[in-house]
Amino acid sequence: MVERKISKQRYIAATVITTFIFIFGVLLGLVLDYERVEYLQFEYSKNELDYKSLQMQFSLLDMEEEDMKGCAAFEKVMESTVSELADSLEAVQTYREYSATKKDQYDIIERRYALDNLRYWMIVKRAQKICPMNKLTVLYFFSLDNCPVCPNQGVILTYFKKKFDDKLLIFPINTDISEKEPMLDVIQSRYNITSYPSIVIGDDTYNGILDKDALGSIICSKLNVSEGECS
Amino acid sequence: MNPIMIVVWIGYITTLYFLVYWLLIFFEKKDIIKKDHETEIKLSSYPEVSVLVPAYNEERSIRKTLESIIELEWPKNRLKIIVINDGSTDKTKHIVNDFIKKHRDFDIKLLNQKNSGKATSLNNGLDIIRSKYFACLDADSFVLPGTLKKMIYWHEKDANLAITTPVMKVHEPKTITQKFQRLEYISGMLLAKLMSYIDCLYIAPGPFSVYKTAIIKELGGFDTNSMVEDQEIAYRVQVKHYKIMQVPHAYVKTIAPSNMKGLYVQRNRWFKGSLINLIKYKKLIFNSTYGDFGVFQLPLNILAYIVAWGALVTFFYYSIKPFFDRLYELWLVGFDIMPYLQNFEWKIDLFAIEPMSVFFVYLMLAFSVLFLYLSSRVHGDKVRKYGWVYILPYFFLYFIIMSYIMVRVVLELLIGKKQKW
Repeated sequence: MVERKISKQRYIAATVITTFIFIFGVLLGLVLDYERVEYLQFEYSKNELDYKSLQMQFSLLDMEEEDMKGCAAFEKVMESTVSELADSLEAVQTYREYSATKKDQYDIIERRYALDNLRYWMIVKRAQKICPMNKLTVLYFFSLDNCPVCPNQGVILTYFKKKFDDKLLIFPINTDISEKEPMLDVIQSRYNITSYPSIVIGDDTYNGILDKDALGSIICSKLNVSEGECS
Repeated sequence: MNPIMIVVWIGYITTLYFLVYWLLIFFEKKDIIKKDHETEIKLSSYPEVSVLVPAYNEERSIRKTLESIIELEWPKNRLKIIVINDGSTDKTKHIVNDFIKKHRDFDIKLLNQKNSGKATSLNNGLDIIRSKYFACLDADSFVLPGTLKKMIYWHEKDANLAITTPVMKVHEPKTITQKFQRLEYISGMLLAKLMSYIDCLYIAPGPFSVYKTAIIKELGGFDTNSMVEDQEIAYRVQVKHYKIMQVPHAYVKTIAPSNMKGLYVQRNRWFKGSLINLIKYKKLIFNSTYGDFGVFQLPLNILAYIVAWGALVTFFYYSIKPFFDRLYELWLVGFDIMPYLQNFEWKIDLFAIEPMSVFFVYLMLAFSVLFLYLSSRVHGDKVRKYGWVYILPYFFLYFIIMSYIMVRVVLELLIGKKQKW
C-alpha cells in the first residue's frame, strides 16, 4: 500500500511564497497609484501655469484693440492648452477607475479639472468677442454614475472633435461631483440643464442625447465650414 | 469590486498558489528526478507481458502500432499481442489478419466483437490473459523499443505499483493544432512526473500504460460505463492505495487530433469524463486518508473548472468586449473612420493600465513558460523544434480554447446533454 502523506511544510512554503507575491503585487499597485496622483498634480500645476499665461495674454488683448497678431498667438496657445486639459481629464477618469485607495484625492482633482474647464470655457467665450475666431465652444455635461448613454454621447463628440479638430472646443464637465463643487450647480441652473447628457453649444442648451446627424447639423449651422466638411 | 472580478481574483491567486506548489515540488525532487533518469535498466528475468490493442476503424495507423510492439526490446516468446477489433467497419480486421500472417513468429491474436466501446474491448482481452503484466496500446499510438523494459523494471521493484505510465509525446506534429498539443504534452510530461512523486497520478493513458494483471482483476477490470476508463481505473487504484508511477524516459508517441474539431471532440469527452469521475469519487475530496491526492490533487482538479470560467471571463472582458465596444462606437458614428485616421494619435500611457491584473497574468505566464522550459530540459525535447511562431498563441489562445471546452462541458452536464462519440 502507498504510504499516504500530507506535505504540510510544502503547503506552508507555497502559501508564504504566494502571499509574498500577492503583497508585492498589492504594493506595486499602491506605488503606481501614488505615482499617478503625483503625475496628475504635476499636470495640474502645468495647466495652472498655462491658464495664468493665457489670462495675461487675454488681458493684453483686452487693452489693445484690433491686435490681429496677438489674437493669432492667443488662439494657438488656447487650442493647445484646451486640448491638453481634455487629455488630462480623460487620464483622471481612467486612473480613478484603477485606484483602490485614493478616491478622496481623485474627487479633489476632478473638482479642479471641472473648474479649470469652466474657466477656460469662459475665457474662450470672452476672447471670441475680441478676436475673430471660427471656433465653436461645447460645454458637455455628463455623469459616469447615473447616465448609461453618456459614453455614447462622448463617442459622438469625440468623432466631431476629430472631424473639425481645433474649430471645435469641447469642455467636458463630470457632474458626479456636483455635490462637492457648488459652481457646477450654478452653471447648470444658468443653462437650464435638466438631464444628462446635456450639451451647451454656443449659448444654446440641448438636453438629452444628440445622435450623429442631429449634432452634426447643429455644429454645421453654427460653424463656418465648407459644405464638404459637413456632408 | 464586482462579483465577477472577485471570482477572477480568487482564480488568479489560487492558480498562482498551485503553480508555486508544482515548482516547489520540482526543486525539491530535482536530484531524485536526475537520479531516476540516470538509472541503469537491468532485468534479471523477463516476465510474460500481454499487449492489448483495442481498435475501432484504425486502418490508417494499426499496422505501424503493431510494428512498434514487435520491435519492443522484449523476448518474442514472453510477449503476447491481442488485438480487439471493436466492430470496425473499415479495413482494420483485414490489415491485422495480414499482419498476423506475416509475423507468425509472434503470438498475435485477433478478437472480433460487436462495437461496444474501449472498456469492453479491454475487459474481453483481460479475460483471456494469464500474464503477470499487461499493457494497453491505443491503435493510434506507437511505443518506442526500450519503453516496456523500463516500465517492467520499475514494476518489478515495487509490489504495490499497480500501473506504470509512459511519457507521452505527440507523433510528428504537422498542423498548428498538433503543434499546440505538442507543447501541452511537453508541460504534461513534467506535471505527470511531479504528480507521480507525490502519489497523485490519476490517469493511466491509453497509449501504453502497463498494469499488474492481478491487481486490475481484483478491482474488477475496466468500467464500461465511464467515458474515460483509463482515468476511472486510476481512481480505483488510488482508492485502494496502490501506486501509479510515470516511468522516466519510457516514451510513447500518439497521433494528436489534427484540427480543432477533432480536438474539441476529444477534450469534450476527457473533461466530461473527468468531471463525472470527480463527482463519482467525491468522498475522496479533502479526505486526508488519501494524503496529497485527497487534499491537493482532487481539489485542484475541481479548481481547474472554476479557473476555466475565470479565464474565459477575463478573455471576454479584456479582448472580446473591447472589440465589440469599438465596433459599437463606429456604428454610432455611421462607420465613418476617416476623421479618426486623419487625426490619428499614437498615445501610450503606462499609467493607464490595471497593474494588478497585468502583473498577475504575466506572472502566471512566466511560471507557465518556466514550467515548459524545465520540462523540455528534463526530457531533452526542444520547445522550438517545430518552429517558434505558435509558442505565444499557445499560451494565450490554446488555454482559452481549453477553458471554453471545460465551461461548455459543465453547462452540457448541467442541462443533461448526452455524449456523442
